[in-house]
Amino acid sequence: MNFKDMPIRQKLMSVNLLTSGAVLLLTWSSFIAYEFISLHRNMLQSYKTRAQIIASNSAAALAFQNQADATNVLDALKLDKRMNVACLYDDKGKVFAAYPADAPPGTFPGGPGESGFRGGHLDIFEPIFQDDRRLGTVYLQSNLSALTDRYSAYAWLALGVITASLLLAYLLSRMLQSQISRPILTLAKTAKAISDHQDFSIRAEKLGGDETGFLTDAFNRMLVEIQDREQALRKSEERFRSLIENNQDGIAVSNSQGEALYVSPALTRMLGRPESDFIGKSRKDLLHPDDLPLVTDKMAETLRNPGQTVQARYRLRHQDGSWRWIDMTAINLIDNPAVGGIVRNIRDVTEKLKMEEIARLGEAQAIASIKDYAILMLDTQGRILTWNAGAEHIKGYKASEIIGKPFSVFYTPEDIAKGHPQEFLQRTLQDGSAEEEGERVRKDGTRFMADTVVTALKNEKDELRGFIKITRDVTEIRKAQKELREKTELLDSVLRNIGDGVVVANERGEFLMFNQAAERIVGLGAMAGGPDKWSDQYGVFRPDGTTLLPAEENPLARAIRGEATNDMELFLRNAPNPNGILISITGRPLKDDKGKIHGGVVVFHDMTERKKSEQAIQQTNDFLSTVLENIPNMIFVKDAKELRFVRFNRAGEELLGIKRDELMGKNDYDFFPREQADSFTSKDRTVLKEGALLDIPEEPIETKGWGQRILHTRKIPIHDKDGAPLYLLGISEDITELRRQQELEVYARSLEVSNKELQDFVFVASHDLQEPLRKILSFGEFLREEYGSKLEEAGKDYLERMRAATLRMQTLINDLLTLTRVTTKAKPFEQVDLSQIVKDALSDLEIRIGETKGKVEVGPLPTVEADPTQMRQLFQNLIGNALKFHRPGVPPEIKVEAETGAQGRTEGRQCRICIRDNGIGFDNKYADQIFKVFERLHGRDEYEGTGIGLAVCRKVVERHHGSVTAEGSLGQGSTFTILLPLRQGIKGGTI
Amino acid sequence: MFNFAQFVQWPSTVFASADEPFRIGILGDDPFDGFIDETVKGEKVDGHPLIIRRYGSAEEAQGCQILFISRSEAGRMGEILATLKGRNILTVADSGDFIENGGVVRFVTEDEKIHFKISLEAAKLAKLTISSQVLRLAKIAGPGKE
Repeated sequence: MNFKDMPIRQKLMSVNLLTSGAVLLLTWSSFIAYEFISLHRNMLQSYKTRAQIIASNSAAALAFQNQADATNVLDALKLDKRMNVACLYDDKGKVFAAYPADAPPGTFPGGPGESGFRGGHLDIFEPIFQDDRRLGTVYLQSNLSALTDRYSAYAWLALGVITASLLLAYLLSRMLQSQISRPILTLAKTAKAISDHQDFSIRAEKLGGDETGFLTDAFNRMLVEIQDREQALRKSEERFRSLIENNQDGIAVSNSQGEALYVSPALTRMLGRPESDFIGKSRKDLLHPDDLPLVTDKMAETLRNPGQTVQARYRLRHQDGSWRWIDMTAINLIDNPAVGGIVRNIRDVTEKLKMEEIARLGEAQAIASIKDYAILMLDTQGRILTWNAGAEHIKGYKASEIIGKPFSVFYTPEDIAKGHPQEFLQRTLQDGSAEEEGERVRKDGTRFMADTVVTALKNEKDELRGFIKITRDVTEIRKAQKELREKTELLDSVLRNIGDGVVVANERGEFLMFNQAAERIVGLGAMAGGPDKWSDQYGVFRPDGTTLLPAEENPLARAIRGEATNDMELFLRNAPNPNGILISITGRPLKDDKGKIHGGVVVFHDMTERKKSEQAIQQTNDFLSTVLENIPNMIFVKDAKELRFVRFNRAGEELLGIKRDELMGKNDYDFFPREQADSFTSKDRTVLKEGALLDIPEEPIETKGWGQRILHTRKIPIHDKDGAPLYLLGISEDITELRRQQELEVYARSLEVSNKELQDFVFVASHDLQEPLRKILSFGEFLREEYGSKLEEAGKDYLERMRAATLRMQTLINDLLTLTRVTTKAKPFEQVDLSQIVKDALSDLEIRIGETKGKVEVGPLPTVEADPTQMRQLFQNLIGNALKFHRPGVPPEIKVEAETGAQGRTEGRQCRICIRDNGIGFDNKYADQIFKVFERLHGRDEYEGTGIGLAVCRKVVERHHGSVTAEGSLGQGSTFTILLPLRQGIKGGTI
Repeated sequence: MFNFAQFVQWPSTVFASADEPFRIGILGDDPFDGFIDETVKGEKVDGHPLIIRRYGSAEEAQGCQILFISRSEAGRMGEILATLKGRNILTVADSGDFIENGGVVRFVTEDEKIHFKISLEAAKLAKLTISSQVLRLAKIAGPGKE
């Protein structure tokens, strides 16, 4: 029997025995081979070692040529039965000692040779060395009985082990093979049973978890699957069959000749004919004659286009003779092997068509009741056929009034004149449908906006059957739209024209609006990029102008996040605005009705311009403030309501002695006596009430530093644009000094008058006084000359005293006259050489100088513009005085000296003339008094004189716009100093 | 004598260096008639080149390793061996009362064969170790023995 066809049990057995046999054989072979090699090697080694021992032991014997000893050493070999023979060769290769000792010489090889197995024994040659010196060689010859003994033992052992092993293998194999063969045999049996009975419900028994078990499982699973599939297939087939057979639609399959291969029960039911009426036949005779050409066409089309559906509606005759409407869908599946024919789906639509007709009627009813749309049917000529409620509602006609009228009645006369209705119908015809919006007329003549759609209605043959016209009243809608549009436009226009920049973005940061002002201010328009890019794109910085604004701080970005920003200042610098501008920006989120944020808006304006104008105003203010502060008049501003000070200038501070800080916010009662405050306040109220300026020429005011002052005040009301009083402005001039001056002038004027009168009086009086005096003197003289001899001594003395008094009186009067004449008889000024004047004066005084033995030294004197007579009188008086008041017994020494121009500008126009004497002098406290009229420091008996001379001097000097002063001390002489201007006409005056 | 050099071990202190010659000395008349020089030529003992020295007196011979004391000196054996006492010298002789006076190896000719006696005591005194193989071939002489 071929191995392949052996039962699996025998196969397994053979496999096992062969395998184990082969393994054992191989194992033993290799073992024995190894043993052979190793035994030989061991034996060689062992005998070599033995030879070496003998070599070592016999070295001395050889060295010392002791044969007996050598033989003795070899004799030890007798213990080994396997040892055949042995000998020692000396260094010449001659046998020196032998074993057995009596071995014949031919027993040994001729000399030392190679160790090895040869001829059934082992030869060992081992050289004998003492140090490096070779003394000889050991030769051993052993038989191989050790090996052969071993080999036979191995052979027996191997035989026994192999036999036992195979026996064991056979037994084990028998026992274990069933583990493998049984499941396979079972499986095979099961498979046979299934194929015999075609019963897929049988299952194989699983006998373990190994591969066979797995195989069994897979086999069973496969069976389950086959069973499932078969079931599914059967079910599916049943389903399809049932689907087809229970379908309302009939299914027919026919060949290309139209002969039926299959008809579904539905079809037989549909036509009331048995299946046998169709199978194998072509029933064109059941077709309605009118439909025959169509069906023939469609059949041809189906045949032409495999795989494509072709539809047709036609009629078939029922068994009862009635016609059934059929919707047929055919598909050519002749090429499909599963079908191999034309499949027709046949649906009876007779009932459906009836229903549709009813539905159409219902639709018409519905249309009739629609109110918001006028829906009407027009005939081909545009005459109205139907009228619905909407039409009545919109146009005002009742159906009875309008049916049959042309639809153009709704058009305005203008449109009709233009032929518009016809044109519209024409357009509808052309395009199948048209829409227009326009003004229409109601029954009552009012007009409305209508949106009209007209559709042409055509039958299957593309013949026009009429029109359907749907009209909607869009008046309100259009109105609302218009309002919305206007409102939007207005808003747009506002945003476009507003000066502030307005930017709107949606929640994604896309710009929805960027108005013109925004573009103008920023210099750039809307750019795509989003909030993260804005700072870069538009150059948005913090107000410092250097820090780029972080994206999250951008007011628009914040608005989008739902945060509001108010008047934030930002700096913009970009290509169109290289210098940058400062803007103020306000942001707000945009929220819908539900409060959800859907974007943000920012409004901003350029602050640079505003800042400039603010600066300009500031400058003006500063200017006005400076003016206000530096005006010498007091200026104050009070608020109109409570009259509290709100503004006060420096002049006011100085005048009132109140700092503005103390004053601000307070009123008059805080600073002035009640009466004054009352007065001020009432005037203020009047001014504010009447709204007119009030001039107060004089007004007393109590000040801290200056006592009571007189002010000239103007109070002016300041109003706002509407005329309501805001402030009271007050401007006050301190006229105290002015008033005083004016009083002084009046006094001076009256004084001048009285002075003149007095002078006149003195002159007249002096003149008139002279007359009686002269009489007294004359008659006194007469009395003394004619009656002197008759008078006693006492009489004479009286007479003499009277005459002296009269003379003194006369002198006095003359002096007074002189004094008055200084002004009344003044001569015009001329150039006067003072040296000449002094010389003349001295000549007049020559006698007095002679009497007193005085000396007068005169220095060079200037020429001045003066009255020469008065100059002469001046010097005569002063020098005369000096002569007169000399110390008793001391001749007077007088110096007249002048200084001119050398001592500065003022004196450059004046001259100073000093008259010094060494006379009695005077107490300096009288320095001024001596110039007064009739003032005398000494008794008349000491020094003669009227006490008018110096008064005259002063008057003369004053008339010349100069001055005269005296200096002196008692007994030390005195100095009179005259200051005279060199030129008159320049008001030098006193220094 | 040369074989003795192979089978006897000297203390390691005898040679100062590895190539110091191994000296075999002959004291007295040379019985080998120059033959010995030929025999040892080129031979080495444990790496040391073998040389032959001839001495006139025991004092001279103190630096050799093996000293053959010639028959000519038989009369003075005691004197010579007393001089060499304590030296690491394998003394060899074939005459006189050699062993008795402290010699180590005494050759004896018996039955036309050369045998030798070895005094283990003298060898021990000279700190020499003699191979057991040699001892197996020799007669051991010493106190208590002949």
